[in-house]
Amino acid sequence: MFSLKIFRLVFKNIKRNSRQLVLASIGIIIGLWAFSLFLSFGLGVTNVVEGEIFPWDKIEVIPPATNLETSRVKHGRNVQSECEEDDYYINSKPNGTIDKEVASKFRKLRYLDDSVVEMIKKRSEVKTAYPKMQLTFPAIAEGGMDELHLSHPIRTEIFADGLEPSNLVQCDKTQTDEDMNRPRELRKCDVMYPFKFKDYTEENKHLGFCDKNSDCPKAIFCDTENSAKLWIFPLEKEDSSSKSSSNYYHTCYHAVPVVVSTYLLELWNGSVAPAHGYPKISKATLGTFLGLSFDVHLGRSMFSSKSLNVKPVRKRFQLVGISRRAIPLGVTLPISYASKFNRYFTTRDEANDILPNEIHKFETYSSVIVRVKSKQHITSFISYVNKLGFTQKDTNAETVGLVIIFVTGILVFISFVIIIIAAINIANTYFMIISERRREIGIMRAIGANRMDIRAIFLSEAAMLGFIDGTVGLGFGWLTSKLVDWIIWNVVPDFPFKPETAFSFPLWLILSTVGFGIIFCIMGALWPANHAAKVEPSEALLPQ
Amino acid sequence: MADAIITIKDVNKFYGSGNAKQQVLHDINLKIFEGEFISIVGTSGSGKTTLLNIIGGLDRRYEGSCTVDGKSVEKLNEKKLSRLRNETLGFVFQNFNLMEHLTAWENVALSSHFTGTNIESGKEFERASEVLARVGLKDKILSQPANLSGGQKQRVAIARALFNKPRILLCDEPTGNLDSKTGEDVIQLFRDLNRQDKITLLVITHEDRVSKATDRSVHIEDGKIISVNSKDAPVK
Ligand SMILES: Nc1ncnc2c1ncn2[C@@H]1O[C@H](COP(=O)(O)OP(=O)(O)OP(=O)(O)O)[C@@H](O)[C@H]1O
Ligand SMILES: [Mg+2]
Repeated sequence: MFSLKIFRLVFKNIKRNSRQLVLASIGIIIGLWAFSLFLSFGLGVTNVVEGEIFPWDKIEVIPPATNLETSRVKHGRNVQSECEEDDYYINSKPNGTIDKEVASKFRKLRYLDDSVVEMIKKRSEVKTAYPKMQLTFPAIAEGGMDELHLSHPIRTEIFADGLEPSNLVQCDKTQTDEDMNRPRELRKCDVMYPFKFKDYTEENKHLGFCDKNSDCPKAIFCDTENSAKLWIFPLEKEDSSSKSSSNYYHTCYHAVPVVVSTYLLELWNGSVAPAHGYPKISKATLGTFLGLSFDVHLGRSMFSSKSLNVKPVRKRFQLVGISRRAIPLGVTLPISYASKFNRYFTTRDEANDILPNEIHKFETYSSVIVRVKSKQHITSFISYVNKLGFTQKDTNAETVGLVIIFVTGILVFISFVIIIIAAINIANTYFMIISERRREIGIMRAIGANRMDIRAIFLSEAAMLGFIDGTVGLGFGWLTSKLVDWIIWNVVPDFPFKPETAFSFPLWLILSTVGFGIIFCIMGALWPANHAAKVEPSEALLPQ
Repeated sequence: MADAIITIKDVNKFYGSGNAKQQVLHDINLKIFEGEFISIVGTSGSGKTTLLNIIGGLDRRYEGSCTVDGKSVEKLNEKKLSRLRNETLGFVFQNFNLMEHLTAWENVALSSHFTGTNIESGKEFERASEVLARVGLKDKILSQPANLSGGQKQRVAIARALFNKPRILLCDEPTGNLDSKTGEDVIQLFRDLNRQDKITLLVITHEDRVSKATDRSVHIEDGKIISVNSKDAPVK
């Protein structure tokens, strides 16, 4: 009954009524076109959000927002940590001072240091974990005058993340495509040859003194800052004897290697360049910016005039990589630079000693980037992190995800309304076709068809029609998605996180589009087919 | 004589209801024997088609009993009745009733799509070619009905009726739309099918030459059998 041979008959039947059926199909096709397009768009946007903006498996562990002194009072007994007793000890001290020994133990758990990173790494939920250290002071970058042929250099406040070079994703065959393309996770090969992403402090010690850049080897800069000594031995405390300016040496040094995100290009082309009348930068010429160096005024801010207790210093940074996987805003630099700079800018007391509550600024991390093994692991890992006294950075991913689902849901609902109306149209057409074929039905009954056979023939016909409509609707949806992608790429100006494709057509979407075509055509034909099955053969055969 | 393959007993048939109720068949009793070639004659409106529909299980709203191949038609459910039509009976109509959008062989093999068939799956084309050859249309297997003459169309319709190897052929004025020459050919074909293939044939006709070709001729008038002429024992 539902064998393959029926296809020939069914196909010829459809062909015979092709004009009526094409007209009846338009609605179904439009509905399925809308369904596949809307749903694939929703999925595509979700992919972009989950994959590029808020990766679902990425959790950024951060210290609690409140600092050492106030957090105890605020959280009190609610904080579940191993040193709860000690916490109380701290708080209960009448004069409010902090026992140094307890504080160091305490800090271990309130701040993200190597031992916490190790603890996190050992968790079974965790696939990878590595620390990140942000600069704890402001900085301004200045440059681009020659490269962009401008009359004035461009100045901008910058943010910087320090990453351990050894934590960059390896670019070898052991990595899957998924690993290699993870958003915001730098790969070793994102740093372009011959540049290196490493701490040059040791090498700088042997480069010698200078007065200007030309005194130094090629691609090495002369540090004309008077704080040069801090540069060579940045962690050393300045001794008071060398405080006179004559004791400062100008030395040659390697620029600080940094990697920036292609997102900056999108930002530049989309907002900065139009607003300031600067030229746009095409993606193709991006490579020519590699090796570009620019000044960074560490300790200066464009937002705030609040002066730090330490004099700002100017350093040369060099672009060693441009990657869409780099942090979107700001630069990524080797973590040891971040630590040294942070140390330099910590608050000190009169004796130039670093205040104890400032130590965490260069000895602990601003966050630990964790990648969990699967979605199911997220909850248990987060509760573990909270137990340790840490929180995770809120990405708003869930809110954004809900909004996308909601909007997609409405659009899919609309396409279903179209499809349902179209199915009624199919029903109407089949009633017409059946009254046309009434005599034919009588003959089929006479030569042995039972009611089920008649129903099966009409429903098979509807199923095939649905299959054709589903395929055509899906095809149109796919073509439209290609067109929209093309427009996004070629017509719409660059915008942040501009995706390669805004659509996603997973297999289940393809199957369900065609499946819904079949189901709704069958539903439309159900009533007429039952009607046809009830035709009395002797009456259908009466001469008209 | 052989066993009766069709037995009609006290069949009454009414159309309409209330004042419009009209009796079309009156106490019909008839036995048709296996291998018989029988004709039903009568004027227009006398009830021939009605009787044929009852025998063929196309119309079950009648009084009395009708047994075909040992099965009581009025007692069979819809499914079993369809099966009987598919496996045991073959129908031929006056106006051929071919499907214009299907080729000759597809028309012939139409019943292979239905539940219960005597033809092995995959052998449909083979069987269709065989029966088309049997009715002399070996070279028209792939033709469209529109390209066939009336006689050829009727032979395709006969081939369609033969496709499932039926034991009984029910024909309602099969030569009614044919000229005398082609009509003659069709009658000859029926005779061959009856003699060689041992198919029981029931043919409704109002043509003398057809009824003369049959073993027995049943004359119906106003829903009543008024005479039965047999070749062996002709009743004058
Ligand atoms: N479906 C029907 N409803 C009402 N009356 C009908 C129906 N079918 C047939 N009749 C009536 O029953 C009577 C017998 O009809 P039937 O078709 O059996 O005649 P027939 O002998 O086959 O005639 P013909 O030689 O013209 O085909 C006629 O009076 C006809 O009007
Ligand atoms: Mg008739």
